[in-house]
Amino acid sequence: MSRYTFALLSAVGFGVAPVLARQGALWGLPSILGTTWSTLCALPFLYLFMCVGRRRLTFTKWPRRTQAYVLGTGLCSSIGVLFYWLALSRESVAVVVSINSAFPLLTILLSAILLRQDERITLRLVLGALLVVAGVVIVTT
Amino acid sequence: MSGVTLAFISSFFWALNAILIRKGVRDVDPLEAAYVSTYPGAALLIFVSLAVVDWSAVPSSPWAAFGMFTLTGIFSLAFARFFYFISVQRIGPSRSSIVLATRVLLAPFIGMLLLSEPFTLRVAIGGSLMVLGLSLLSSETP
Repeated sequence: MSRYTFALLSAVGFGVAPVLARQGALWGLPSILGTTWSTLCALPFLYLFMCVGRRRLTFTKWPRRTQAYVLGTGLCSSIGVLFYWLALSRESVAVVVSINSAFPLLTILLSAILLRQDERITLRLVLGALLVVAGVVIVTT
Repeated sequence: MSGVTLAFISSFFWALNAILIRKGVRDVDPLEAAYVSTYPGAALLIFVSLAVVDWSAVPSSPWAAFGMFTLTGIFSLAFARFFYFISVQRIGPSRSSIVLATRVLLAPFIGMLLLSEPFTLRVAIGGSLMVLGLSLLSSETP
């Protein structure tokens, strides 16, 4: 399996979501309430995946630092969503989506600072990110 | 605070999310990490929803809308999030986030396939740039 298969599958899943959510919002459900509902609906499915995969919950045995990082990802993700909705309420979709599309560049920057021994930052990586972000901006504006 | 600043803050938290995933899933199962990490996010969203949602504006029969958001949750926060955790564990946050950014191409493609929307020059140029960016990435030596 290619190294990028899971990232591409993730992009497909995250790509379908706004199409569905937009329809839900058009049918009158406030976006923030819909997002909350989506998050709650994901929980039983993720638990089902764990049961199917015969995985047991080992969270309490993880190192404290790992627990903090994993719980932190959930918070960061939701805070990102909240600021995204807030931004959309004050600025046009084109501007917000364009700025938001730059998050891979921020990720590279943060990786260079916080994951120095873990993440290899290459010229190809930076050029690839710039091309993808430029493509996103062209598609979304 | 301006919308532009808020959008930057949103991007920052999504970038930080990817970094924390990498640090978190180094030694643990990405599926369990995806599952566990959903709880604090859900708690925060419930708290904010209760505080800010104008409940009188919610339609009296919102079931179809809830159905759409249920599907959103299954596709994005269950499947896609799980795959994203695996991807970050395997190829790192930078490369995963670049691939993830191409998700915006999907909406125009769905529009073209299901709603017979036109294939615009903008989508063609933007899509080509993204493919070029991804091929640069995939040409890296592992």
